[in-house]
Amino acid sequence: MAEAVESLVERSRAGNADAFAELISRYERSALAVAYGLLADGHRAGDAVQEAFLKAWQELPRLADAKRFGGWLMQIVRNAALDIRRRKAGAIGRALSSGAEMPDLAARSPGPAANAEEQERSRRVREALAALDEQTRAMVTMRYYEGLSSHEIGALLEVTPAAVDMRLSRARSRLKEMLAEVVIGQDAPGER
Amino acid sequence: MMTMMDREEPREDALDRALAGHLAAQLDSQRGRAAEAFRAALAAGVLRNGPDAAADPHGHVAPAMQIQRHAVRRTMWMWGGIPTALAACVAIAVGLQVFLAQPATRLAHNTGPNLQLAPAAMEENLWTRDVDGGMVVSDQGPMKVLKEQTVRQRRWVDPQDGAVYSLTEPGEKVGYVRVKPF
Repeated sequence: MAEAVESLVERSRAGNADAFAELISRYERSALAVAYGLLADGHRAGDAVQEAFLKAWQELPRLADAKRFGGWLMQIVRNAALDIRRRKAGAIGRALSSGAEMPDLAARSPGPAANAEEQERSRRVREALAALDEQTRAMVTMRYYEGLSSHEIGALLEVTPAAVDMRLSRARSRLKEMLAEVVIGQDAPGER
Repeated sequence: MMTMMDREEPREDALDRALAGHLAAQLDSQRGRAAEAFRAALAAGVLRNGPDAAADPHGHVAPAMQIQRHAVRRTMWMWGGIPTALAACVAIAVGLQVFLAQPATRLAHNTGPNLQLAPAAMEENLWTRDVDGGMVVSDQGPMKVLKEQTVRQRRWVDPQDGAVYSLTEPGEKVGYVRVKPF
């Protein structure tokens, strides 16, 4: 049987690195979801989560209630993501050439046409997610990436499950509308 | 014939698949980084926690001083890097001008008077991107690996037969930056 979070937090507080590594393992996906909600970029979300867990280890003695570890950690992730967003705000663009994507020389793609189609689909999903507000994007990510229930999402983001349901329902309608062509494109041929 | 309801369900599934697939592609590659960084920082001894953190039985530098010192180092690294980058840009620009001005002469000289292989049109693209290479532990503590990847692609047309030639050169520079201790 898996060890309770409270117990892992207590052992981590005592300096047990293995216990904290287990906490990282359990909360990493949620943390990535929250950071992705703010940054809308997987790589930068990874940076934020890495910083947040190091910070959490340092700050653990200040956590008053071990049961609140999840919500407390997500606040640290949020702050780390905001910090990264501020630092990157003035950064110059990476691609020097106009428009064209950097060729991925190492990629073993199925072919140029399929690759272009996949890139286009990915771009549309990214744009649709970017159109959502930060908290809703975090909720959508937690639901579709991690498969969390509304109750679990609410506990981590410190909102009620009903509020989570309402936001997810609206987000879903909006995404369905924005991604209509992508969704049709993914239907099996016989269903068109 | 399918009814509206029948059509709606596959679309719901397709939306789920599109979202889940996109998020997994974005985030799966980031998993494991936090645990790796945590282990690396612990191994290097720059990460401590708990009530004992204030006490310093091993004579470590106080965290605040470490942070200040690393901030100074980072600033110096940044200000040292900007002139270097500018100089590199100028060198590339000058080199490119020389390169673009020369091929007709060079080819004519090397291949004799009967061959005309001088490119009539040439296009060059240069892409750069920064990639986080994760953390490594060195003698000087944990360090973040930053990779600057470039791809330079030149394309030109042979006016004789209209053939298009393309030359692609990948490149990578790897830099190490000390991480901020906590």
